[in-house]
Amino acid sequence: MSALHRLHGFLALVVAVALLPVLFPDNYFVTVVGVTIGFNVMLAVALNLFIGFAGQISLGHAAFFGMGAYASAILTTRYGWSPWPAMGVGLVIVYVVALLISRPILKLKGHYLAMATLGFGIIVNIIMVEAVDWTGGPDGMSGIPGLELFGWAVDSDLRWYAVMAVVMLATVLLSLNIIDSRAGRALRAVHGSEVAAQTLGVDTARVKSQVFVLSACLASLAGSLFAHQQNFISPVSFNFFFSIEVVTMVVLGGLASTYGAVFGAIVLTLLPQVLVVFEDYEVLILGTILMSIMIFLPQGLFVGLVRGSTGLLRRLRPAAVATGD
Amino acid sequence: MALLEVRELGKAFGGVAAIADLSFAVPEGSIYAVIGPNGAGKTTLFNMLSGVYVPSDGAIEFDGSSLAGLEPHQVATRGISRTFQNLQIFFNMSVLENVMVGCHQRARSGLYRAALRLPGVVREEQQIRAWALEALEFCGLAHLAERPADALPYGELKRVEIARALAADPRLLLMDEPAAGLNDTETAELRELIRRIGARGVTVLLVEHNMGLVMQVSDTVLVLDYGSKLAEGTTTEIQNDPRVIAAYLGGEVQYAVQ
Repeated sequence: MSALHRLHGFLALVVAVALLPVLFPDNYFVTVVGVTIGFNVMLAVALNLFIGFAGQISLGHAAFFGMGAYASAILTTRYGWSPWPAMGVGLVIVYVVALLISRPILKLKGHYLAMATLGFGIIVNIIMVEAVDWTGGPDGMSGIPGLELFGWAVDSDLRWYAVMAVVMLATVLLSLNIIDSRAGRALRAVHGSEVAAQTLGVDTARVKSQVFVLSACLASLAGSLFAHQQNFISPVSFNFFFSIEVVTMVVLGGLASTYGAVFGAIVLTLLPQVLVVFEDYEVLILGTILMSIMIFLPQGLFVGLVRGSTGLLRRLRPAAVATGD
Repeated sequence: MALLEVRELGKAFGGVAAIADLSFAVPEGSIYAVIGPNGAGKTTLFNMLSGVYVPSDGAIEFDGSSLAGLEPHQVATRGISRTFQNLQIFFNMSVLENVMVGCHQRARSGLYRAALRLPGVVREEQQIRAWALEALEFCGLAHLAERPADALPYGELKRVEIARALAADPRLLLMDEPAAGLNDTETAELRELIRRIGARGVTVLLVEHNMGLVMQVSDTVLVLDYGSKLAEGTTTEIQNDPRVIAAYLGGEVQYAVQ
């Protein structure tokens, strides 16, 4: 497989992301919702490495997103740091915390791992609410400064769109690179058969820990950017429900597919926006859609659609030959 | 010179001895078979040799150094590969990718280098692919390389496991019932494959129920019964050993033979 073939999908994504703001510079869905999509794609792609490819589960990933956001917020507003070193410190903190909890937690499997990560996420969220002196408690923190890149202030929706586009695409590329490598195959091997992976020389405990930490670090970066983009954060953005939402994005698009995670993040960010017109029934419709997808396309919407359409093409082709006779 | 030496090995599960006081040596370059009735402890033995189980007693030495305390992945890097009685295929990957995982310990690049796709990674990737294709070719599976593993029938999956284990470039290959579930044609192909693996210089330790296959390919046969050594010898010696016949065919036949 040539390098070009490997990146066909990615190049298409780059073109789409670049063209959208050119075609619709004033569209709310592009410049405002688009930035939110950027954060969610980052989180979903990062979590997909852990859930979709390594076959593990984390119901506490919002905690890492929140830790990055709070590290940036606290260091910039309370200590007057500039955003970039604050982001770096957030990253280091998340790296260390994720590394420390990864070894004991990742010995667990299935429901037990789900419970452990869930517990971790809830504990971190409680700290955000209770450590009022640092985090501002349930009221959150405001006045978080925006970002500046070499004198270029990221001070408009369109500029944020550009920043998030680059970061998001970099995350997608990172994920694509990993999957198609020795380390990526080791990850997928852990999912396929842990014992077989071990007997082939894969240090499965290390592999799981590494990808958990990487996934957490990407979430932390997304969190820091989120804090600077919103200028205001509160614990609600990083609670248990958001963890579940990110998992849903991954599952919705299709496990073990980077583009599936991208797709899931886009759909799950856009849907509530679109469904707003139904007012009170929004949650009901969203729930119905998710349930239907899980029942009828259990392998995920993106993966399901891709397989469905290739299957349909294959079935149509012999039919075309038959009518040609 | 023995490549693998097992001394007074024992494994008990909650007081029940699955393997007790077992000693044997596998000479380098030989095909060594372990046979025995169901429950004789063959798979337990394999799991200890590959580091999956920790022995309760005794020692395992590979190429002169002890395997005690090593994790399965560390045992693998010493040069021991295995196949499984119940298939352990990575069904979430293609056939080629399955075998590429086999090359894991022959390459170096880690997660972060791969994420950035540094130049060395691409070169290593090509090397891994070449190794994996060679192993597939050797097992007669090259034409199936790009197929998803879950699209292959059972018999071919068993050979994928062998290719995957060979891709690790092992010195010792542990094969756990490779003929189980195969038809006669497939078993004949397997026999040739095992011989070619031996000819390649890989030492083979074979656990197998198919006596025809065992007697055709093995240099030495070890008979296990209730976790202990019942007999050890060449195929001819084993076939004529009254204890073995008794263990396999029951006590009455023993009288008949006598």
